[in-house]
Amino acid sequence: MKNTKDRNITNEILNHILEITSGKCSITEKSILEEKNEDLQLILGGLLHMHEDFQLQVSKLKKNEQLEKLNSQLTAKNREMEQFAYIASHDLQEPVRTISNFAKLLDTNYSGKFDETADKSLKFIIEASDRMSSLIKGLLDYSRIGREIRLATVNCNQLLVDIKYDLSTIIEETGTTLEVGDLPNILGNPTDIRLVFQNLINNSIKFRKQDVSPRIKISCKKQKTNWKFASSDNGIGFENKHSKKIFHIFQRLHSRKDYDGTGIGLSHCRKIVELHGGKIWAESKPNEGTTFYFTIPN
Amino acid sequence: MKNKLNCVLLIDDDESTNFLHEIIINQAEITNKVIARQSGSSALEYLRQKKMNGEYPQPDLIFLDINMPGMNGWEFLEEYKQLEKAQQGKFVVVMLTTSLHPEDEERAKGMSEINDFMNKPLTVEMLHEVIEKYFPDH
Repeated sequence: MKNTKDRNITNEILNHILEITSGKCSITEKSILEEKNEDLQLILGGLLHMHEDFQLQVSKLKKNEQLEKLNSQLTAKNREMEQFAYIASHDLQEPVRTISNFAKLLDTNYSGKFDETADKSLKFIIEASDRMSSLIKGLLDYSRIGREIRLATVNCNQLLVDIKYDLSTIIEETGTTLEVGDLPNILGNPTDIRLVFQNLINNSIKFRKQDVSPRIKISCKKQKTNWKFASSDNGIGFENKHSKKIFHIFQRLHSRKDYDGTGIGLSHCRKIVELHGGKIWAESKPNEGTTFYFTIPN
Repeated sequence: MKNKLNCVLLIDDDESTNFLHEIIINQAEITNKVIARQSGSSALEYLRQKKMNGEYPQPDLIFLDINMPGMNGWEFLEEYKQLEKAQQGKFVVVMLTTSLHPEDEERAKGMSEINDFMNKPLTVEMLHEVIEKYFPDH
């Protein structure tokens, strides 16, 4: 727009000059003037082009600057949050330990000397402070995940052999069969990936059916952009409407009386898988076992 | 207080909270009987089961926890709505650990089953206020 406007102005000026000088200027002079006008138009066009280019660059720079600023703000916020979770849980640990220690002291030295309500109350204090302690520990562990980003090639076949060895006591005690298919080498944080498999296996063993030996199958399929792992079991399963809830921190589907635990294991898995750029989900039906799926980019 | 309620039902997954609330309710001397259930589904089971005399237990007051594993308080209320009138309790008070989430507040507004909200833990004074408010004859 500006371009045409400016051109019109120069044309106007030129015509004006020509009008004034008409009759007085020769044809050569007129053609020189017209030629000059063309030069002027070219220069003007070039300048305008440069100006537009310049403006584009400036806006790009501004956008980059904004993005960089946002990015550093996000990083700072993230660090702050992790720091907060870490410090909060670290500092919370101590008073809880004091409660637990003194309640246990009372229990050892005075149990039976109170009435029944007092004994039971003391039992609740001890249980609650122990639970608080493990919740805080879970929170600490959760905030620690992803602090150290060290990627390496993880041989999943070997990893599962190691995990099987580590879990051999519980595997034997519960008569668990662990079938592992052919697994790939993936790029990831070895400690974290190990935790994902370990948590899923422990989960399947914990939520086994009474009187049925747990059977866990772990397999992997190569997809376009990722590896899709599947870990299925023959456990008690759950209603599919809970399939999102189970990955949220401290969410549990069962009362603590029936199944022990803090409700943090699967949220760890989710955080790890998502930090690796993948997704985790579960499919289940009550009494028909559960299959956990997760992807890791390849 | 002229006469006591017949039955108060506590629904909370936390055993120690039920234990404490039972003690407090007994101290407040507002009811003949306190029944505690640790899950929404076992509470529904209790409400659906006829007593020896062929009647449903129909508690006068139900104190309901929201944040429970498996079936939470909201899910309990969804099923509670489907019960026959004779199976439902007379009044439902929702117990809260902290304040209500804004989205839950919206949800609660739409539920005519909920008569009141109270923060945990219940105290003798709170219980007396509930009785005055909902059972003026007692």
